[in-house]
Amino acid sequence: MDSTLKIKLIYRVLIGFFAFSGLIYFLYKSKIEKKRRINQLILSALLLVFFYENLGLYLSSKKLVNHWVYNIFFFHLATWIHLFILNEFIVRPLLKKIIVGLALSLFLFSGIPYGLGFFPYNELLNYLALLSSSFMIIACSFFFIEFLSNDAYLSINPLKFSGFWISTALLFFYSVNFILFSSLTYIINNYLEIFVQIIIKIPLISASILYLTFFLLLIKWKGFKDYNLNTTNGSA
Amino acid sequence: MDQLDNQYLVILFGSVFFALVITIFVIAIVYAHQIRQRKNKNKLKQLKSAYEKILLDVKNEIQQETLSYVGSELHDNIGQLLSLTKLNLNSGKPEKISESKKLIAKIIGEVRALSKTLDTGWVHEINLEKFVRNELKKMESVGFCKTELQTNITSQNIPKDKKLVLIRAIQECLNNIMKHSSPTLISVELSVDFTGLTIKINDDGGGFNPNEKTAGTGLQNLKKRMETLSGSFSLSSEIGKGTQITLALPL
Repeated sequence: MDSTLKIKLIYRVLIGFFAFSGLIYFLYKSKIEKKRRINQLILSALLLVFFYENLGLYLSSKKLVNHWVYNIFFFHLATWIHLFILNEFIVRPLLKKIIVGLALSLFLFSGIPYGLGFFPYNELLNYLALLSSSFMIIACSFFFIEFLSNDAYLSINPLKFSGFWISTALLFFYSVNFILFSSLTYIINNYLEIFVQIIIKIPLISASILYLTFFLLLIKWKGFKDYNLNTTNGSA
Repeated sequence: MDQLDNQYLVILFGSVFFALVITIFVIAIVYAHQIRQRKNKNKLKQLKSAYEKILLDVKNEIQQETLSYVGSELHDNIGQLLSLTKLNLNSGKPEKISESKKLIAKIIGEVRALSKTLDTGWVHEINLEKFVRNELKKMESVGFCKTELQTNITSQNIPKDKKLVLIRAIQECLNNIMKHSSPTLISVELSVDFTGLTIKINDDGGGFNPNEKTAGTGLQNLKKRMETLSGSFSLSSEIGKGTQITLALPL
């Protein structure tokens, strides 16, 4: 088995593990914990990635083009959930509104045109990828600006703050995607072998790191402290 | 394959570089956050020591004020009553002796009242409205000017230390009026709303030009003290049109 296949397999096993273990942890959580929006969003993100990755795998095993799966579920749904996860770690109402605005803009400039058939339905669309990645990078920047300027974070130890690691992982993941998708057509047309052998590993590794941070927050890992940020749902 | 190897190296170096950038970014954020935390800690320490100093000053001033009040009461009130009693007793007339007995009973009452003021614990016991009422009553009783008090405070929960500073600030404002202004009326308004407690002290005295520099630091001190409590002090005055002082304190 070559290394790319190994990494793909590890990635699929990991997302399966995170989704199912996360679901079990969630079901055993107290009512208050279940009602917390951050827990609901994290679980949704883990279940969604498990669902669309397996749907994509199933379609490709049937020799069907699966790009629509990623166009709909990753570039739109997953990005929306990620934006709202990030929103939970932001305190200032104005920035929260801006992030909701970014989610709406994504729907307006990407979701609606795609849904109405302005873009090819079953092609991997660089436009959608770049738009969603840009919005996420902007949202992550807002978080870090907020983190370094708002007094609400002063008592927080960043190394023990799940929001800090999740935002860093999101920034890492979407920066990789941005770089990758901005040159995807060129790489595939000219260096398909390199793409299949090496480049594909990078987003898989960054995605694994991202979902690991999600999972650790959901299971309330001891390394993370539960800080009260006075967000909409009390704490994050 | 050579070209593939080269591309592989480029991608490898690119990835390592990108991972490094992200790592440096995380370290930089953590470091910047720690610097902010350290600065904030120092600022809090400074504020705490400034607050403690102000409290100590205020306690000393209240003690001084109490002693000077006791001194003047002993001299002007009890001393006078005792002299009068002595004169009555020296005359030897029965009606004067009976008057002297009444005077002695009055002196005992005055001494009791005075001994109570020596105990500075009253500051903690008294509520703000009662304190202002007493201060205004004192001013009226010596015939300084007329006073009026308006208040909407039904119950108040001012921390002891904050109350101490507020009481001292009100005293200082009233003392300033007595020293520098010759009003016919002093009106005080105490009000509480969602923003906090507001105390307005108005007099219709001579007023002054607030922009004119004076040698005293009283007003500056008042401002600083109120700001240490996260409150504010504002003053407006015009020559011939009296002075308005507003003390605001978030609760």
